[in-house]
Amino acid sequence: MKKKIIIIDDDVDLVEAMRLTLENEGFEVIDAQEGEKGLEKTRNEIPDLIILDVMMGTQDEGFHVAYQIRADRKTADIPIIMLTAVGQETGFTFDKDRDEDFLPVDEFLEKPINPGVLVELVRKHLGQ
Amino acid sequence: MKIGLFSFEWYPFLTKVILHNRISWSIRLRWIAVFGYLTATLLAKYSLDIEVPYEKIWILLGIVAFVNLCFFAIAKLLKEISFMGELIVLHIHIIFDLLLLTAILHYSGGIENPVYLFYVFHVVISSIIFPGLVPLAFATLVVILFSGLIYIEYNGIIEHYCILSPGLHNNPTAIILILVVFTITVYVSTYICLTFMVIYRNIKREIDAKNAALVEIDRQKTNFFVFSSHELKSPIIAIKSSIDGIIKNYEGNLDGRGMNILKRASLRADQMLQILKELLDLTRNRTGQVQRTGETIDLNVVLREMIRLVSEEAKEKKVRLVVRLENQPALIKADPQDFRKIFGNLITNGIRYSHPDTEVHISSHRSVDQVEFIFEDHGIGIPEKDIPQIFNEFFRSENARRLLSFGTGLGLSLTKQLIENYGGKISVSSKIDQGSVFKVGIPVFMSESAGSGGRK
Repeated sequence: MKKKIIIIDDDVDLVEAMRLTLENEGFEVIDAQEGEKGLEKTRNEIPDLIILDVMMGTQDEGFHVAYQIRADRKTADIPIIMLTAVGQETGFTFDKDRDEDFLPVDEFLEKPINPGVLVELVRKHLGQ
Repeated sequence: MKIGLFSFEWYPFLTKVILHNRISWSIRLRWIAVFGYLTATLLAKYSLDIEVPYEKIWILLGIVAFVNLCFFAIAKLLKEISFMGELIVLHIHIIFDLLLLTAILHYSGGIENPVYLFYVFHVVISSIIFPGLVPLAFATLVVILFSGLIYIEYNGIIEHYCILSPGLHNNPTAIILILVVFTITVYVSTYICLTFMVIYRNIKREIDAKNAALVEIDRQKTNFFVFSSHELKSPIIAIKSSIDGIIKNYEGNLDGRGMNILKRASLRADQMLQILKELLDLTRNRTGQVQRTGETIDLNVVLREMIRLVSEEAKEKKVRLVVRLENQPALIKADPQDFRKIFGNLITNGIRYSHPDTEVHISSHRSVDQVEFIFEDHGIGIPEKDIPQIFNEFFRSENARRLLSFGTGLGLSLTKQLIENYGGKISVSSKIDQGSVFKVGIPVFMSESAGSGGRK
């Protein structure tokens, strides 16, 4: 069965670019343009992996979404890849090893997204 | 708005700090005056055989010394005195000085002692400090005090102590001559000083206004950079991700030419992102938004790490890196990332603009509290006319553009900004077609061994 991936990101073109690559690799892709919608779809569809943009409406909307995904027992175990451009923008640098206590995601991926790296990371977190 | 004599607006060129410094300065001068006068009276008494009431003069000097001590204590203890407070203190200082000088003059021979010329110092000082009528008031006070003293000595209301014979104190011609010349001297000095100070204050006001305007323009520029970089970034990221998606997924469906164009478009998008990233870096460092991690790092370690990272690029360009670093650690509290950028920029610049088969020399020199890193390449160099602009944003010299089309023109700006954030300095010297030398001085922790033969 096809693995299902949800992309939660407000940049439609970016979503389309990722969808192109992921669908070509044989994944099923659904998407949502904002946090609330993304949460709702995640709860309904229970995807195998979540690609989540950190900065949608607000600086850290992505984090709130991630916390809620982790807080819900149905979705808590779904791996999350978080997309950031923040490392360059606010002076924060996200370091998974340092922040994993309070950052409920499995991976950070900095934009722009290299399709090869994206596929590699997706497969890694799907255990393929 | 009405501007009162004792309002701050009346003294736009003065600040509390300046006033405070002037007060400390006048206290120091007073010590010198006391000891100078004491020495002079001792000399007069024991070698010139002049007869004046030395005890009284010394008592007066003692009073000056005591009051000066009080002034000193007040200046030290009352650190948080207001602007007006400082101003009033200064007035008191000057009035006190004038009175004491008159008293000392009286006991030192009155009109016969040219020490009355010292009055001129006070009018000059007050003309420098105060604007408008205040110095004229002081000048008038000086004239009144001096001529008053001469007058009552002349009339015999108080005793005159002769140091010349025949004395001048009862010679009307001498008195009138001296008083007229003295009065003219005092007023003319005041006038000249005041005129000069008006010019000086106007220039200073102009410079301050222009400076404020420049700071504002720079702030707007920074804001504009930040805003436009953020706004430009998302579209470029989308463009780049889309192009890369097509390149990856339609590899077989596109002919080589189309593919090539897409790959180049992707590179251009990269280039743009790099510019935006460096621009943001630069403005962030300029506006001081960076949070320092504050760990202690050894700059030599960071530099070696960067040298290792670029050694591959150097090999490709057939450039040999010759490294001579002093063994002694160069410790500083800093974010290592900043110094990776600084060193990385300078070394890769050195390699990129080198002629092939040349050497890039990297060395360090340690003094007690500073380390200097020198990056010397043998390459295209920088045209002399471009050297003053080399650290400006987006500036790239003509020959650098010709050699390398890529490059944002922001690297050296950022490098300089980062270095200055750590209190350091960067300088460059260069000869066209022979190479460039960049010197970076960074203040580091003092080390005991550095001063005493720690050099290796």
